[in-house]
Amino acid sequence: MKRVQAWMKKWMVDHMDLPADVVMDLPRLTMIGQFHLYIENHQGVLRFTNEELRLSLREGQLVIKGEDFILKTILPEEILLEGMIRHISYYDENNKELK
Amino acid sequence: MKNQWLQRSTGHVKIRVTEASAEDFINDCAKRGVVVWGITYEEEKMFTAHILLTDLSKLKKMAKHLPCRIVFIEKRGIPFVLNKLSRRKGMITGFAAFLLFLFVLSHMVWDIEIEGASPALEHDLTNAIHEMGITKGKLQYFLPSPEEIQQKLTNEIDEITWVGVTKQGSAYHFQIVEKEIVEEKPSNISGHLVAARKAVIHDLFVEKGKPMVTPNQVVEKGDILVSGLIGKEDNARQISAEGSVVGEFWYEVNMDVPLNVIIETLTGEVNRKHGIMIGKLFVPIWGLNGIESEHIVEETFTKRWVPFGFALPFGYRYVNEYEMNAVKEERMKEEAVSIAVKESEKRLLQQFSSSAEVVDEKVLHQIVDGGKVKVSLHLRIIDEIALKQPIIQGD
Repeated sequence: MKRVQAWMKKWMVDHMDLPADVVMDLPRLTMIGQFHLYIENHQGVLRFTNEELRLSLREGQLVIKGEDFILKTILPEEILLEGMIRHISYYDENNKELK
Repeated sequence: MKNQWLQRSTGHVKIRVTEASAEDFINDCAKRGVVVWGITYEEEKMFTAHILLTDLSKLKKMAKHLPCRIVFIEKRGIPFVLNKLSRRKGMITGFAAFLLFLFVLSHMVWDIEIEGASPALEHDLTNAIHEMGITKGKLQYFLPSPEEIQQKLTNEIDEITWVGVTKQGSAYHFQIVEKEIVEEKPSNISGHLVAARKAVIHDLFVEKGKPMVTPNQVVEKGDILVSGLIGKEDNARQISAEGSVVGEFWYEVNMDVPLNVIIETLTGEVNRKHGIMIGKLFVPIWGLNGIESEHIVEETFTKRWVPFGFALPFGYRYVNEYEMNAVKEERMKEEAVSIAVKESEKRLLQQFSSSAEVVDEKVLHQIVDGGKVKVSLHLRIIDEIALKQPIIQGD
């Protein structure tokens, strides 16, 4: 059933011109240079140090790595991260990096 | 992203949290609805964050629940500034007093200037102004407006023609134009009225004195018209003769009027040429293709650029070109004669007083000669001929 739902959503995004982040409940990342990163639609902070930010998503995790991180703003579903961003990657539930 | 500047200015604190990880703190804040921002990681289980003053009670509960230790590092925002200021009451009252003094003093009258009055009038005026309540050190709020003062002063003091009252900051400025009381010249210098020119008396009106002539009498220049000597011989008195004597006199005028005239009129076609003057050379720039006509009147306007009094050899000039229409008009002989009459009357009357008028005109003869009409006219004019002449005391 979940598979059918996921397939339906994907089909809607592909064929009905709806924004993917709304329909499929995915995070929306807006990056300004290397210094600012807006992350919308996340599910909570898992880890925050000055070199790593780990956010939980509906499926898996989002990991951002870099230097001198500061969380400028934290709203329920929105985060503004400031710092030197080097690396953004997605991990699945088993903490395996997705390629 | 919302701008949270206003929210944060209402007071916030910077805290250092130890014995708890940043992610736990953040998630707990989100759960309890605590606004948190500016989180900086320092080391494991130690970070700084900013928190609204209004969320402090929630923060205390969180500190117990997590548990964690919280140290306040910085206090910012209006509540803290006010709190700080309230400890410096003397300074605040001083500042408030300063503002109040500045305000009050700047609304006082500090100077009264009177300009254009003689010392005596100035004294009167000063008294009048003082009576109105305008003295040094008075607050301006309780004083009448400059317009009112102006009206009152002009009504109160007779010697003033006009008074201008202006308020410049804390000074009142009175500008006065004094009435010049002109004393009437005594016209009692005894004298006769004599004739200014040879004429026939037309009308006579004597106010003072003894009339010496009757209407229709011919007088020569210098004849006494109204005598200033009255009374019988043994107790004669000298007075100033007054009155008006209107005399009639003649002029003969010769006038030439051409039969053919060219009347030039503008058709209304205008072209404006713009250009630059370099020295005396005119370099046209705009409006080069002018009017296609042979008869053109030009009007030139030149502007020289004179910065700081130095005349530069450059300037701007524009030339208005008007198209002209020349119409040849042929006059009839009678027409020419009537023009001659009107024209000669007009010219002649300019020599006399404004009350002079032409009573009668007669065309003596008219000859057409070489495209012109030569007209000879005889004009009868009446005008005031009385002239004052003082009586020269004989022995």
